Amino acid sequence: MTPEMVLTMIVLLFAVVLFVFEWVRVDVVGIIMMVLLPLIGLVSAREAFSGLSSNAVCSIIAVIIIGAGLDKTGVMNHVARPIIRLGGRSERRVMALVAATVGTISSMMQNIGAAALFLPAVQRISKRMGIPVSRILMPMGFCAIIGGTITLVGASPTILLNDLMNLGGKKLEPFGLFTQTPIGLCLLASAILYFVIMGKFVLPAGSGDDDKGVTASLMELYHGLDNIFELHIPVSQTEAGTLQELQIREKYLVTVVALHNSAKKDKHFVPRSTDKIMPGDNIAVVGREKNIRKLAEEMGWLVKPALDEFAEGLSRTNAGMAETIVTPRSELIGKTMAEIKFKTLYGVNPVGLFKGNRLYYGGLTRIRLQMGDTLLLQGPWERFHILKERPQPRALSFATPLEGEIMRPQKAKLAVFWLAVALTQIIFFKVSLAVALMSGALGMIITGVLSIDEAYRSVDWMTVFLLAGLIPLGIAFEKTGTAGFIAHGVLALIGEPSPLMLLAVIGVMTSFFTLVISNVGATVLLVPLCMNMAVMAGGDPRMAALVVGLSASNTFLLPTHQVNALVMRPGGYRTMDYAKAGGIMTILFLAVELGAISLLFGVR
Amino acid sequence: MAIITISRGCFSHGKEIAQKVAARLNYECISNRILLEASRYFNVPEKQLLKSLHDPPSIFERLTHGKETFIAYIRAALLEHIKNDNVVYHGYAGHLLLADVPCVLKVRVLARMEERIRMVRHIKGVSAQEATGLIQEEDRQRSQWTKAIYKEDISYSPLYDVVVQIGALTIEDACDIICHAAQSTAYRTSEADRRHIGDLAIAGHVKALLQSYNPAEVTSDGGNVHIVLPPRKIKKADFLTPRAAAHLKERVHGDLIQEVVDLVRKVPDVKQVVCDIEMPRYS
Repeated sequence: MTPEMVLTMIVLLFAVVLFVFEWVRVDVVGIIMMVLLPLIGLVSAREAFSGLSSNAVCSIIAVIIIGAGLDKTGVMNHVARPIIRLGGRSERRVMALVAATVGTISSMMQNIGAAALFLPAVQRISKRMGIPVSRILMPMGFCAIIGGTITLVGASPTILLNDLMNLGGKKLEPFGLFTQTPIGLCLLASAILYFVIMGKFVLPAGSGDDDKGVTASLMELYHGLDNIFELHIPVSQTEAGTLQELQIREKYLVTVVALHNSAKKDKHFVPRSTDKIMPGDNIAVVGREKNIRKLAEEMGWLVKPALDEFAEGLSRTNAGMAETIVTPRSELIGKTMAEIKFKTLYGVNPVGLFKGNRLYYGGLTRIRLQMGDTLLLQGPWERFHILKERPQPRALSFATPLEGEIMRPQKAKLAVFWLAVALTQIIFFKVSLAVALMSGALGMIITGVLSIDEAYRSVDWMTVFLLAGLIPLGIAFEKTGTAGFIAHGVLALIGEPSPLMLLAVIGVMTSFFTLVISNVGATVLLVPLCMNMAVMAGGDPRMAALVVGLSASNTFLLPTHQVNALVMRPGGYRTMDYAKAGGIMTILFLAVELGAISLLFGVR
Repeated sequence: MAIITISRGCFSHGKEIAQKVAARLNYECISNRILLEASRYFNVPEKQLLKSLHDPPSIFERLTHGKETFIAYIRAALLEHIKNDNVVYHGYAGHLLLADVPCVLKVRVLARMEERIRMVRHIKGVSAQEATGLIQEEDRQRSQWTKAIYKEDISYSPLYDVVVQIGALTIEDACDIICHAAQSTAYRTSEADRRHIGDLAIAGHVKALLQSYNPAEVTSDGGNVHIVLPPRKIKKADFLTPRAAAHLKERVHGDLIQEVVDLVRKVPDVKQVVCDIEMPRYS
């Protein structure tokens, strides 16, 4: 054993201790390695920072930007609705469809994004159909994690592989974007099958906790509001009149928040008092249910069972409510909302006004506003964001967070186009992964899918520095011969296993390390070691690296894993539920992974 | 009107003294019954609770703070009991479990070694050498336990209000001293003390319920409970945009607060719950 090997082992041990005891965050461990290794002479200064320009880091930056672009245009929102509809009333079918879709989406996007996208929809549908939400959310979360194994860029550990595959100073043939896809698909299918067959036995039948969101919470707090209802004005009716003439707010304490003109086929989400309601039109109103029913009864209008024409426009992702306060230097002070044409100026609907100790739902547009008055507003999130971003002094300050963000649905096709361009370059022209993905990300920025600032803001610097910092540790591990030395020692202990048995050992080892230390940390430590072990045992070092990369996603036991943490309370899960369902999933993952490698890559 | 804890060395006549004092003052005498109550309420085996009070913690227990959980259960049950006042507790570690409770007369009962050996030989029918070994082993375990859990030396006299040694003093003498001390004004519980003990009982109950959350601090003021919890950790396992990361943090934070509040609201006499939890951190 050389002095360099001893030094490398000390640094490795130090890194593992930092990972296990979490005295500093994982990315800080990466930066410590980036600085420590050249200082003690284990790698050159150039090698120490090579991680920052590595394929892994550039690919991950590009993938994040592409994902952010798809997110910004709401492409995935269009997927959620039909998938849920396709599921019908069958618990198993809804679970399988949601899990499969989330898994597929997370193969190219951050896994939590796909899970978060489906979470509210799943909660809603479960409630409506009386399906226990706990039977869907955990499968969905597990499939989001597994989805990361479908492509090389689906999860951080696999992205790293190509940069770590150096053996004896030689670079091994890199993996393609889809080399691992058959294995990932087998894993996804097996997870879905597992929950279809065993779901009832391993998952609790809890209803979990609803994610109400800010709008629903506000409606609960304001006793004068129950929900948003859609009313239809029958064609048989004569012209109803303008909103002002009908005095809906004054008579029924109900606010009209959207108007669908059936003749012109257009929708106003901030209807003016001069807007006419015609036969055949639809309106969306917010207020007490009994008042709305009284309004419908007296006017001869029909209350629809659920939002129909406005389902998309008034969905939680597009519109909602916010509580605002009139600021000390507000232009609104001393004026009424009618005087300043509030709706035209601000583009949102006033629903309620809290003034002194009184709450007004009717006649509020004629009340003089004072500093500190609280206005409950409803409207498209985009308008709220514009209001919030206005320069100081702002007329209104926001007392509740804004749920939605400014979306660019008109750019959805462009976003999909640039994703396709990136993939085409990788599949058909064999362009390097980082270059192809970065060109897709650049295309999105140039065509305005998202601005360069938005692109910068979307980058996950924690992962970037974690990867970039640990790559030189991997280099030192291999370069100093420490990986080979330890591999020799381990093989001396376990004998000479067959290549498949060795992969099984590697899979179990990685799964265990992933639970204890960061999955990227486990990958960096184990890839050089396992590749050396594979060569010594007569196996394929690339397969060993792949097993490490895939097994690093075998994290179903921990409720603290980011996806599991997201669904824990909404699903009403306890730590034991993860131990039970996740324990079987962990074993199944290893079995399917090794089975697929054996069948598809001929490892025996 | 007092609460008396009797800490005793093994085979030092502590139990006998506790029972006599309770009879003389017409107080309730309790010991390991507390374990049974804690075991029933928190659904843990009584054997495990007894072990947690007797055996010093193993290395694993020191790392995981496993013993502290059981001790929180026992303290909660004990506080619930002493709410009604007029209690003599002679179970394990009473003086430490009730260290922050006002008006508790903390008594330490010792006996001369020859007296203890005589008692062991009489009870167990063993030789003098074996009896000495048994006593020394038991003393060592109790001393280690106190050091490991409360970082205190069991023989440190400021932990107690009264220390009596049986030998020159008879059991009756010891009872006289303890009863006399218990009836002094210093140990008479006022209405304010009773309220304070009630709050400590609520806080103890809440803390025991929240053991899996590792609460840093639980206080109660007239049933208004204030809880300080360490931030929850999220395991970074994949890339995610800062916006998604912030969303996840907010969500996990909100979920944790709701979970804790829902749990604590079920505790009897709790009126309001305020939860101070930092935003979750990525580990």
